[in-house]
Amino acid sequence: MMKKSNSSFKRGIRKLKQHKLAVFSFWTLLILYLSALFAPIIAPYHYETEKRAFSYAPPSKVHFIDSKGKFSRPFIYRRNYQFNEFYKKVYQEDKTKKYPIKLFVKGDSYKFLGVLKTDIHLFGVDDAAYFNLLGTDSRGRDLFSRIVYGGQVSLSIGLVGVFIALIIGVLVGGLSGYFGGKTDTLLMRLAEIIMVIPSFYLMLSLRSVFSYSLSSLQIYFIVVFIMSFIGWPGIARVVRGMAISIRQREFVLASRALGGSHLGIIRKHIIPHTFSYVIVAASISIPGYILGESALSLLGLGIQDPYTSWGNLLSEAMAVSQIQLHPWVLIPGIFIFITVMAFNLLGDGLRDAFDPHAEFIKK
Amino acid sequence: MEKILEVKNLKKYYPVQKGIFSKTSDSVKAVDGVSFSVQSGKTLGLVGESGCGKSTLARAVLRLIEPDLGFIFFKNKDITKLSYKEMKNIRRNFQIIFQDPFGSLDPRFTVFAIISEGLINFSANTKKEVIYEKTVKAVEDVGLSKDILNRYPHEFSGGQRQRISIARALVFSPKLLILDEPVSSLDVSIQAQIINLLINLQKEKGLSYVFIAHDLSVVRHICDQVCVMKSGKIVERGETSQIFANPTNSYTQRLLNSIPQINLHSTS
Amino acid sequence: MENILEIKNLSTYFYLENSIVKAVEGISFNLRKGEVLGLVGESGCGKSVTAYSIINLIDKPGKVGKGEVIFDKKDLLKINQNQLRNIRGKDISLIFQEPHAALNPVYTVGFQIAETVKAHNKNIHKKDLKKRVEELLLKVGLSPNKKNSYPHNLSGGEAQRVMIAQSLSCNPKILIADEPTTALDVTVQAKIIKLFKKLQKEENFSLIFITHDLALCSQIADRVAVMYAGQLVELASLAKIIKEPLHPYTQALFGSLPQKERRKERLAAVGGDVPDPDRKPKGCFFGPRCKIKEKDCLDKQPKLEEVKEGHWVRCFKRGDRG
Repeated sequence: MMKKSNSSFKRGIRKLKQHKLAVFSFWTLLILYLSALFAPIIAPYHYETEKRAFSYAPPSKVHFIDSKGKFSRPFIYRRNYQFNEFYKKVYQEDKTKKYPIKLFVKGDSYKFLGVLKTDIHLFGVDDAAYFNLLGTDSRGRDLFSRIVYGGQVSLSIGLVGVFIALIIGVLVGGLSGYFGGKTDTLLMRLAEIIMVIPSFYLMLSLRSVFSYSLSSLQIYFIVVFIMSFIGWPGIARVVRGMAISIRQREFVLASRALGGSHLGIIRKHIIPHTFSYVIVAASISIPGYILGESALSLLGLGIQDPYTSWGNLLSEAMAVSQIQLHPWVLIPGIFIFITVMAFNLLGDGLRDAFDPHAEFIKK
Repeated sequence: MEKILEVKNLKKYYPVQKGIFSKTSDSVKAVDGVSFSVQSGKTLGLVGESGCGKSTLARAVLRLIEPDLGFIFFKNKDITKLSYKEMKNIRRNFQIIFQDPFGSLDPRFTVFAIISEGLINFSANTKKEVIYEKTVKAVEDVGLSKDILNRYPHEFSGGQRQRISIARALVFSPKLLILDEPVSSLDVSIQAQIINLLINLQKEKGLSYVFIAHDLSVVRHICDQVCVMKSGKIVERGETSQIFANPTNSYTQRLLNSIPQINLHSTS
Repeated sequence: MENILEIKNLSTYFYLENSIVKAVEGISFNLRKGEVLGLVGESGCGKSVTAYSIINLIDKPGKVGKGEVIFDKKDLLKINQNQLRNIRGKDISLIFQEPHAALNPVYTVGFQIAETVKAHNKNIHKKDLKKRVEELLLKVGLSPNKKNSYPHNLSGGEAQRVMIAQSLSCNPKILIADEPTTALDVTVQAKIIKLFKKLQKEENFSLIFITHDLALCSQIADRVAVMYAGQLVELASLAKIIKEPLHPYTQALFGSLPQKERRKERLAAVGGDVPDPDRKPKGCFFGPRCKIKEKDCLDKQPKLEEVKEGHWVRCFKRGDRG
């Protein structure tokens, strides 16, 4: 009965499609999120699987041409290592036997989506070889697998955190703007108090309130809580401003004259009008959440080993010497970069397509 | 004759705040001690130029904004101090039509949702069929077809939108309509249609109107009594014919002289 | 009388994403020297677009198509931007509906008037400039001291006077006023109309007065052009338009005005709505709403024809009163 006005929505989608970078970003993000969702299948190894002998192994070389110079399906060689004069492992390929990369191989068993017990992985090699697309970490764990698993935390924390911050922000902003007066003063001063504290210190001090040793699930929710606690005031302030201007529009007055209750009016007439802003704000603020989680995990205050998140993986790259010797430990940072860029570009596109001001100009 | 609405000494001041500490130094007297009454089944015109407080007055009478002082009686019942919930039951008896037919309809609602909103507010348990029937009746009363119910406000012209907002007000069968410049944003040919509609509705349903306008020729056409407002006060009141024939207040005279008339002799 | 501006078959279309809006379709009329031409029509009929098209001031996605606007033996639609700029503001100037929107809030009134004076008179001496600004303010009935005020200090009427002063700064030959009093109160409106009449007598410019208000138009115009859905439907002297309007739309416009003698009666309103500019009817644009239409009217488009001397009507049934 109260559908959103279709035409403005369709017009927005059409405009969004013309924004090529935004469309590209959308598909990039979709791939990243799908791979996080299907992490156990896509990752060739479990995030906890470690082969200490293969610590800091560089990315495996994928070959297409065998020793006889013939073109073949992609394969890798097994690797051996020797110590050089600095007692650093030097990996060499043992070219005696090919290990072809197979699709849907059996490997570490896992429960898919927490239900289906299986051991099928999208790709992999026979157990005798160790296939590391992006190298390994200090404990010889496959970095690619850990990045894919880490995406589950890093990518979802943005979504969940923004979702919670939006609910609080829209609610507080809506109430504050609609009622005005003392309610407004109280809620907005509260929001401002949170906003004036530098968010990084606030994040750290909030984290320090909670115990250090917690289960990873608890830590996950604490991080989400901290991030949305920091995030809601910004949204609330803008929504409040919008609510104030919408409150004075005549259709809201008309609704009051028709005997509508305050909460009903906020729900039906005020909040829906802030949606276009809210969608844009969400996509633009998600990177902040991802970076926040990374920062906490980087400092060892977020997700704890052996669980993985991109920030936590990056903590391996804290020392310059590590970056010099094993540059592949920086790869999780590239994933963060791509995701953050993609969200920013998508947010830009969404803003251009759905920005209420642009709509007014058209009318 | 029965008074349906009586307003006594109504005041609404807006504080003007100056400086960082928001000291109230002065106030704008938007409505400054206005009294008037509306006879049942009649039309009272409130005339004045922009900023004279007529729209504030309209909203204050319905208590969409809270008056600072004074009394409002609806059918001899004092409604000035009723709570928001108590007001709700009175509201179905009087409704308001706004000037801007583009701003007064929520663009996200279908016409059906707009018109039935009030019915749903009052009786959430009413059967869907009853709500639908009443909505269709209201739409047809204002000369629209029920086919439009699933469409959105932006698909309509100004005149049609104004009909929709009249239908929204009529859905309760109210006794009194407050019309806040209902035709001033419409084109002349559409304006005439809406005026005809309002006159017809009054005849059929015995409605009482408070007709707020700045266009004196329209006011002369449909009002029985007229109050002329200036700077928040009523400066002259009386029967329409009398005011237009013999205005006593100098402001009223000036206002009347300013109405553009079709005039053949002013061309030279 | 001598024609100062000749408009022939002027058309302006707006090219939108999925439609072409024909805002103005083939308008032709002449503006005589020293006359006031009232351009009357309802919102969306293309009267403002006509005004902007005359000085080729149409922005994308709009485009002035075919047609000619002959001023001073030149076609304003053909000459280049530089020549056009010399004419705009100097020979032909425009007055807008919202004076406050047309004035820049950060400059004083005097500065803004001086700017337009300087724009077409670059070597003017400072003293002369100051004198000219004060003279212009006096001319529009403002105190010369107003030159130091900012637009937000002015009332709507005062701001409109400033706009008029600005547009008069180069002694234009033609003034186009686009609904100059619509945003104002009636008492102020009456004063501004008086001012227009006075100035027109003093300066003897030609005035195109655009309005939606027939009654207002009758106060000032010598001739009246009525527009409907992007076309001229009737053009005649004021007296003829009032005494015997021939086009059914013009008749309907008069019928819509409340009359003193007929209180509480039904107004002779036309039914229906103005057609969407991108979905105009096939035949006569007014056809579907017309009371005297015949079968032909819905299929074929009438042309604007001179039915009596100086009385042009676009109607097959020209003159038959319904």
